[in-house]
Amino acid sequence: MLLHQLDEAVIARYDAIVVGSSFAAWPVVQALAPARRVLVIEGGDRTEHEMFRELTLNDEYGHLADGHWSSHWIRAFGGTSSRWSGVVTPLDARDLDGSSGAPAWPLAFDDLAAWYRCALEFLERPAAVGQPAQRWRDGLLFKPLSHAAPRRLATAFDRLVATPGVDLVLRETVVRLTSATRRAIDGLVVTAPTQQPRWLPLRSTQVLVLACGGLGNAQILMQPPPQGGVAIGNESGLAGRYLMEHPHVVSAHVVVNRARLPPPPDGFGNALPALMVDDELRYANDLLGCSLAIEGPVDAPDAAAEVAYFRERFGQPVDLVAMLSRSEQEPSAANALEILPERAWSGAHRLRARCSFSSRDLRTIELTTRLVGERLLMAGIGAVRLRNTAIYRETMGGGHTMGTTRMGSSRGTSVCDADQRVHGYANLFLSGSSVFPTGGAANPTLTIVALACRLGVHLRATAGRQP
Amino acid sequence: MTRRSFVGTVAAAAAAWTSAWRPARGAMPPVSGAPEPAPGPGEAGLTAWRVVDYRGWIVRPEDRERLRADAAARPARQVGAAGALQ
Repeated sequence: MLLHQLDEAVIARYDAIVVGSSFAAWPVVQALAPARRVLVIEGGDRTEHEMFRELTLNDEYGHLADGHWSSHWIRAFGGTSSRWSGVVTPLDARDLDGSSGAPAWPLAFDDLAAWYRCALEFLERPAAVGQPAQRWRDGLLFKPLSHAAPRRLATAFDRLVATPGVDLVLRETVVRLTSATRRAIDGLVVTAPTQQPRWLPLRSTQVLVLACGGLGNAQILMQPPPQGGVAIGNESGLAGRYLMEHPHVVSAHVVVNRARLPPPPDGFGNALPALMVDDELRYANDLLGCSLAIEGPVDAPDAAAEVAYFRERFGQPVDLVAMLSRSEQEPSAANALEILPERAWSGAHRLRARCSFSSRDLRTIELTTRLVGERLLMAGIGAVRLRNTAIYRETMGGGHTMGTTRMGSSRGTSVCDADQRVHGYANLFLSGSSVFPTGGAANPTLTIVALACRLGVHLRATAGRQP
Repeated sequence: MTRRSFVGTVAAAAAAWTSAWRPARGAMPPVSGAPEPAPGPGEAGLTAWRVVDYRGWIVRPEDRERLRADAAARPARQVGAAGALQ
């Protein structure tokens, strides 16, 4: 049901409060309800509006700037599901193992993979999409990406709001949290466009889930209390750190005989073919994860002679196509959000984002492209033209905001634990890609939804009950 | 020594030095049957000794020879008046 008022009496009715309404939120809500009564608080309106977009404006520095982070932070019902391109692929076991110098995830890969089926159902994709990368040939893995019409949550507004046991309130921004004991959240400071900020109390048995996006979750945990001191929920001092993206660039043009690429698994649906190097090559070369998708045709008149040569050598049909790298960015404490003194109209302190690619990030793209290109060449399947200048000067992000409230085993190294509970707080949980310790080379949506399914089922057993 | 003969001497010395270190044509190891050289740092699994770069393309040496020959056989593109290099 859609509510038009949020006050102390209203919020007291619920077992769980979920802040945000995107892919990190609805799987939690649907796992909890109707067994538990759930209130969803969305800071924006049903559709995007300039007034709420203004809340996402940041200072941005580094390789990813000029509105990069702001433009991927959607303050409206459904959040980033309204901009999502629709690419779905799971992480692989190696992405969680921490063996590349990055921290290991605090959960076993099998624990995550078990929830991919639930996530695929939520995203309306076939189960075959959840398969891990398959060994193809000499050092290469084949891992197609599912690419189909994206699920837009905003188009399902009426159905989602009619979920039994669930109420929704729009245009209410959660600014910061309060806690007298620092063991449980005891209140929220919220604001709406026509109202002064107000404090709404929470009981320790009420569960609070922040699902406000890669920047939004950290922003709430970084808001300084009026009396000064450490922000509520940021006792680790790590909220906002380890900001990550997926470096994206067309790292090569490739003349390829598509007929000699392997087919996707049975029942996979529409697939973008993509290649990776195997673990042996990856670790021997100290590489991060990198997926190279064979995309659409490119027009490159200066390559006409080479294309004609390889057309003769490889046989028909060959095309000159783009090879798009979706790569991993190593987590760095220096890539971080900072809180600025300036406040938005909501009263929340604004953010400064600083994020740069490392030489290892970019070398991963170059070397993976080279390793894959050499193997395609030797197999007589394709030839690549490496785009060195593009890799080292034009690499951008993919709109994937990750890592700012990473999960881990202790407060010394992370913001939340394997259950996505903020260390030290009994009733504060985080959902979304902000909890990823590493990003792998997989689009994050499927993993966001899988973790949200897992969190929702976990909370169903505890929300509304005494610990 | 005149300026002209000095320039000629330097040019001859440079040519001699260059031909001394340049490997003979065909010195590339054969593709099959040759032992793999030990990879250097950051080169594990690369087949760099079997492939070469040609205008950014990663190709076999024989591909490069063929592509170069094809390019040489095409009429040169006119980019301005002959001898107009600045």
